[in-house]
Amino acid sequence: MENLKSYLDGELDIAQQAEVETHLRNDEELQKMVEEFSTISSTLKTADSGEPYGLEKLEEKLQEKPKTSIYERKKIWRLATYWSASMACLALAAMFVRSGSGSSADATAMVESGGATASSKGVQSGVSGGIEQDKSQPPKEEFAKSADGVDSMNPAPSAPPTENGKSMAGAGGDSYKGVRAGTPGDESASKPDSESKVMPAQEDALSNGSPNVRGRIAGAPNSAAPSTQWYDQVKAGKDSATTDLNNPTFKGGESGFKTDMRAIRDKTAQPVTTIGDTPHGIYLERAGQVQVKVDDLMRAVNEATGMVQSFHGFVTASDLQNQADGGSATMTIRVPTDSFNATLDKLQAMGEVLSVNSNSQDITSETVDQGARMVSWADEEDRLVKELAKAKNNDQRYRIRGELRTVRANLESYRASVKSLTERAKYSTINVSFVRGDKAVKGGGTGNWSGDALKGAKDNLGSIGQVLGTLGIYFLVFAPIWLPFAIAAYVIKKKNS
Amino acid sequence: MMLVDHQQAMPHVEKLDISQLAKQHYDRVFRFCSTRVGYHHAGDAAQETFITAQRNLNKFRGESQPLTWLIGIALNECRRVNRNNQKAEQLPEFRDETSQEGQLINREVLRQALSKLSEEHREVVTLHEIDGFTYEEIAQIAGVPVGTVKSRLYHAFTNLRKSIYAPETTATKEVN
Repeated sequence: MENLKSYLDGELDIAQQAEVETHLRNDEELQKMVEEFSTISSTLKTADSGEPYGLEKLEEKLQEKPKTSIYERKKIWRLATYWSASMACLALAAMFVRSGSGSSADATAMVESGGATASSKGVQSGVSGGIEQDKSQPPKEEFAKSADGVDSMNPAPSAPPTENGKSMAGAGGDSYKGVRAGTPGDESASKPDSESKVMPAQEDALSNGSPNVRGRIAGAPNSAAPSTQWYDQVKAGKDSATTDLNNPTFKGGESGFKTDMRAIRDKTAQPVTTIGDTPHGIYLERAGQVQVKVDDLMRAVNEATGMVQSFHGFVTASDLQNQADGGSATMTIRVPTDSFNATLDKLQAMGEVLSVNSNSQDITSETVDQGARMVSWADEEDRLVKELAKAKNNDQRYRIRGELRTVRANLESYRASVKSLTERAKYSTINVSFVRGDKAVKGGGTGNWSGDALKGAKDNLGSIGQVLGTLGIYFLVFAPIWLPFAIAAYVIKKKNS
Repeated sequence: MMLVDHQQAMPHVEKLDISQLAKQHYDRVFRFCSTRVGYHHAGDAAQETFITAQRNLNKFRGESQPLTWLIGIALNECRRVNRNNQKAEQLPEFRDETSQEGQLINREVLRQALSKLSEEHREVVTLHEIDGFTYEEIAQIAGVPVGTVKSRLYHAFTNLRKSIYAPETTATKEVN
C-alpha cells in the first residue's frame, strides 16, 4: 500500500508498478484512494506563490562587495558576549585583588592623600610632609628645599628663619661669631663625659665664621632630618666637611650634620627652626591607637597588612581570635613617620571607628645632644689618629692607642644611641584593634546601601582599569612574541578563504 | 563577478557563476520561499539565499545539483525569517479554479488539512507537490534516505485524505 503514492508519481520500477496495478483491478477501495490522492495532488499543484520579484535588486547586490552575513553578525554578538564575560571575570579578579592585599592604586592614593593631609595638619603634618619629600629626593638634596619650597640652606635675608614667631637672627646669621665668642666656657659643657676627659679639638669651618656656615647653622636642624646613613659616614665626611661648607653650592649631607651638631654643642645654634608655619628638624616619636569595628576580621587584618606593606612599614605583632559570636584582632604595626597620618586615616576608613588617639614625644634635644657628643668623639678619634701618625717613640704610641680604644668605644656607643633615636623618629607605632560587629560599615561606607554600592563600584572600576592597563602593558611588551603568530594565523586564514 | 573554479578541486564540477545561478534559479527559489514565508517576505528571503550562496560558493562540493544546494540554503533562510517574525511556517495559498475532471478540493479545507500535518510530512508534501522536486532531490534537501521520503509522502497523503474526505469520522473518532 505504501507504494501507491510512488505508483501515482511514477517512481516505481516496472515490476512494482505491475504489482500495484493488479491490486488496483481487484480492489475498489484502493481505486477510490488513488482517485482521492490524485485530486489532492492536483489541488496542491494549484498553489499560488505569486509573481517573482527582486531579481534586478539581487543582481545589483551580487555585484557589490559581500556584506556581513547574519552568521557573521551572530559571531560578532558571540564575541561581544565573550568579551563581556571576560570583563566580568576581570571585575571579579579585581575585587578579589582588592579584598586580598589592597591594590597598589589604593596605596598610591593613600600616599597622595597622606601628603595632602600632611600639608594641612599643622606641626605633625609638617614633619610628615618634609619627610615625604626627603624620600623622593637624593640625600644630598634633602636640605636644598623644604616642603613648601623655601630654600632652607640659603634663607632670604629679608625673611630669616624664626622659631615660634621670634627672629632667629641671633641664633644663626651674622651674630654667630659674637655668640660663640661670648660663650667660650660653654665648650666644656659639651664634653662627652666629664671635665677630666680630653675635649675634641675645634678645627673646622665654624671657626672661620663664613656666611655659608652661618646659613647652614641657621637651617641646621632642617638638615638633621632623620636619616640612618649619616652617622656611618661621619668619619669619612669629617675632612670634607670644611670643604663642603665653604662651597657655595653645598646642599647638605652627613658632614653638614656633623657641623650642625658642633654648632649645637657649642650653643651657637638652636635645634629647631621654622620655615613658614612648618617646623623642621624636630625628632618626633609618634604613636597611635585605633579601634575599628569591621564585618570580616580576617579580611580587615589582610587589608591592613597589605596597606602597611604598601607604606613600606611592617607588622610587629598580630593576634586574631575569630569566634562565631564575635572575635577580635589586634595588630602592632610600624610605619614610616611620614605615612603615619595616612595610615591612621586608612585604618579608620576600614570600618566604624570606636576610638582613636595619637600622641608624639619630642626627642629632638636627646637626639641632637647624643649626635653632638658622637661628633665630638669622632673628632677626638681623628685627632688621636693624626697624633699616632706623628708619634716618635713606642711609649707615645702605646699611650695614644690606649686613648684611641677608649674614644672608639665611646664613639660606637653614641653612634648606636643616635641610630636608635633616629629609628624611633623614623618609624611610628600604631596599635590597631579590630572588633567584629554586625552593623559595621565596610570600606568607610556612608551607611546607606546605594552610597556604598556606588563607592564600591567606583573602586572596582578603578581596579578594573588598573588590571586592564596592566594587561595592555603586557600585551604591548610581549608583542614581539605574539604578533608573528597572529600575522601568520591571519595570512593562513586569508589564504584559506 | 565571482567565479569559483571547482574543476581544479573537483573535476566533475563546472565553474559556478553566482549571477548565472541567480538568473537560472531565482524564480524557483522565490516560489519556494513564497510558500513558506509569504509573498511579501519572499523577495528578501530569496535574495538573502543567493547572497549567502555567493559567500559560500567555495563550500559547494558538487555532490548535488546547484538548485538543490540553493534550496537547502533557502530552507534555512525561510526558517530564520519566520523565527525573526515570530511566526510559524506559512501555509501556501491556492488558486480557486476547477480542473477538467471537475471540482477540486476547497482551498480552505486543504489548508486546514495541511496545517494538521506534522512539519516533516508537510515539508515533504510541499517539496514534492508544490515545488516539484523528485524523491531523490527531496532526500538531498531534507538529508534523509529516499525510502523515508516515500514513506513520509504516503502517510502524509493518507492523513490529508482522512482530513479532507472523512472529517466527521475523524472528529467522531477523536470525540470517542
